[in-house]
Amino acid sequence: MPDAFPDESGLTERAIAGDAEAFGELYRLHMDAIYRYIYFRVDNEKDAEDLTERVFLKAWEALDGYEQRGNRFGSWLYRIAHNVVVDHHRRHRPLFSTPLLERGDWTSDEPGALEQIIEAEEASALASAITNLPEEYQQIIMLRFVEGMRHAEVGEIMNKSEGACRAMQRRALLALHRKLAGLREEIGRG
Amino acid sequence: MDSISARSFDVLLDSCISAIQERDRTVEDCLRLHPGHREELEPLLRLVVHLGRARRLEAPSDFRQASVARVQQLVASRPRQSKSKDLSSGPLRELWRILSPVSRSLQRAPAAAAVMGALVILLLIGSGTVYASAGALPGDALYPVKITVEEARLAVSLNRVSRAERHLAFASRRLNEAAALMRENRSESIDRALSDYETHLASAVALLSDEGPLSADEQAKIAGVLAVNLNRGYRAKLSALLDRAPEDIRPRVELALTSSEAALEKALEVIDEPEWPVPPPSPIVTDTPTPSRSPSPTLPSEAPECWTIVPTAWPTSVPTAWPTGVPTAWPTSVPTAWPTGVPTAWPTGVPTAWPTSVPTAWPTYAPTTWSTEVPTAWPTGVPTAWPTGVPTAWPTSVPTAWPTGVPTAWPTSDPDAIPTAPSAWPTKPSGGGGDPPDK
Repeated sequence: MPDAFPDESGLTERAIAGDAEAFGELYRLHMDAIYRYIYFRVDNEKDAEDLTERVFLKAWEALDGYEQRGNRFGSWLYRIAHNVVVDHHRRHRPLFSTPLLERGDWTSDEPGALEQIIEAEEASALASAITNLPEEYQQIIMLRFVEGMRHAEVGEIMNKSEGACRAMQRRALLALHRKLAGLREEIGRG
Repeated sequence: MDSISARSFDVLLDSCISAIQERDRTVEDCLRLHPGHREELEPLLRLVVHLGRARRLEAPSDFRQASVARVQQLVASRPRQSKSKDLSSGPLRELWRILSPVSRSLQRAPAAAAVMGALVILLLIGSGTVYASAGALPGDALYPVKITVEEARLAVSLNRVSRAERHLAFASRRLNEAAALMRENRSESIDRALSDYETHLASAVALLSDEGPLSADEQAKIAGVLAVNLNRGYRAKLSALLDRAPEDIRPRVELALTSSEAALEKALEVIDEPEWPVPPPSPIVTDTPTPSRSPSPTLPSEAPECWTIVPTAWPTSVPTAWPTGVPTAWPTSVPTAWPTGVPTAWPTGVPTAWPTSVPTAWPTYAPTTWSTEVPTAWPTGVPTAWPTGVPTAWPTSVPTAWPTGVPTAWPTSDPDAIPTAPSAWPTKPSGGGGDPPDK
C-alpha cells in the first residue's frame, strides 16, 4: 500500500529515531484529516482541537508499536483517533445530543462571514447526525465517504474484511439518511 | 429492493460509489445505468456526494500554527525513548503544553503572571492531577485545577476571536457540568456551574466592544459564533436542563436562559450594524428550531447597559414538596463513598491495537547470552574492490609493525601448489643393470 504523502516513509523513520522535527512534519501532513475525523464525531471545534493534539501525542509515545506493525502511518493514526474519540465520549457522555455549532475552516474560495456560518451550520448538522450513529457506522462514513478511502484501507483500519465493509456501508448510509431527514423535519417544524 | 438480494444491491451500490469517487461520474450517470433502482439508489448516492464535500473542512488556521509549534516543542523536550515515570513524563506533559506558551506570554501580558504562579503550584501537586481534573465537577476537589488550566488556555489565546471561541467552549462545558450535577443529584453546585457559564458568556460578549482595535471581520466572526452557539447549542441545553430541573433549581436555570437571550441580543445588535460586511444571518436565527417543551423566557423590554442580568431578589422560601410528575425515574442508588486518594501516576502509553489471535506456541529456548557492546560508530568508507585471490596460508606470528609501503605487483603463481607429476619417467640407463626404481 503506497504512502499518502511522497516522503512519509522517510519522515516516519526519522520520527521513530526520535526526530521531533520530522514528527512535526508528519503532524502537519495528517492534521486536517485527523481533525476532520474527530470533528465530525464530537461535533465541537475546541474538543476536536484538543483531541487532535492528543492523538499525535499518543502517536509519539507509541511510535515503537507502529514500527513493529509496519502498516501505513495514516491508518495507524486513524486507529489512535478512534480510541481517543471513544474514550472522550465515555468520559464526557452528554445529557443532550444537541448539536453545538462551532465554526470550522472551510477552504472553498474564501467565503464571507455569512457563508462561513451557513457552511458551519451544514457541518454542524452533518456532525450532529453522524455523532448519533453507532460507532462503526461513524467510522465507515468518515473513512469511506468523507476521506474517500477504498474498502481495503477502511478494512485495515476497522479490522474488518472488505466484504464486511461493503455490506456495512449501505446500512451506514441508510442510517445517516434517516437521521438527516429527521433533523430536517425538526428544523421545518421549528 | 424486491427484485435483487441485499447482497446484489450492495455490489450495485458499491460500483456506483466507486464510479462517483474514482471516475468522476455523476449521480445521474449512475441512475441512467440502473433505472430500475433509481428510487433506492438516488438518496444514498446524493448523500455520498454531500459527504465528499465535507472533506473541505480543515483545522482552523490559528490552531494549526500554534498546535504544530506546541506539539513539536513538546515532543522535542520529551524524548520518546524515556519511559521512566519521573516528574517529566506522563500527565505533566499536558501541563508543559500549557506552561511553555504562558511563559512566553508573560513578557507581553503581566496579568498572566498570576496564571503562571497558579500553574507552578500545580506542578507541586503531583503527576496526574491535570488529567484527573478533566472530568471534575464543581464541588470536586480537583475542580479548581480544571478551572486554572482553562484560565491558562485563555491567557495564551492568540487573538480576540480565538479568545471568544475559548470562552464559548468553556461556557459549553459549564452547561455539561450542570447537567452532570443534576444527574448526580448534586443540585447545590449547579448555581456555581451556571454562574461560570454566564461569566464566560459575558466575557465573550465583552470582547465585541473591548477597547483596542477590532476589525469589522473579527467583530463579525465573534458575533456570528456567539449567535449560532446561543441560538442552537446553549438554548437547547438550557431548555433540556429546565425540563429536568427540580423546582428549587428552575429559577436559576431560567435566569441563565434570560442571560443567554440578552447575550444573543447583543450579538445580533452587532450583526445588524451598518458596518457589518455581509448581510445579517437572520435566516439562521429564525430557521433554528426553538425547543418547544419549555416556555421562552421573556426578554427585558430595554436592553440593559450591561448584559449580565443580576436578580433583584431571591426566593425567600424553600419549596416544601418536590414535583411528583417529572422526571419519571432517576438513578436508584447513590454512591456511598468517593475515592479518597488521587492517582499519582498514569499510564504514559495507550495500546493502539489489540492482538487478534492467541499464540499457539511459546519459544522453546531463550538466548543464553546477550551482546554487551554496542558499536559506537559506523565505518565511514566503502570498499572499492574485493580480493581477487584466495589466501593460501595464515600468518604464524603477529606483525609488530605495519607495512609502510604498498605492493606494486601480485604473485603470479601459487607457492603452495602441489607439484604436478613428471610427464615421463626417466629411462633406464643404457649400460646399467639392476632393478627399476620403486613406484
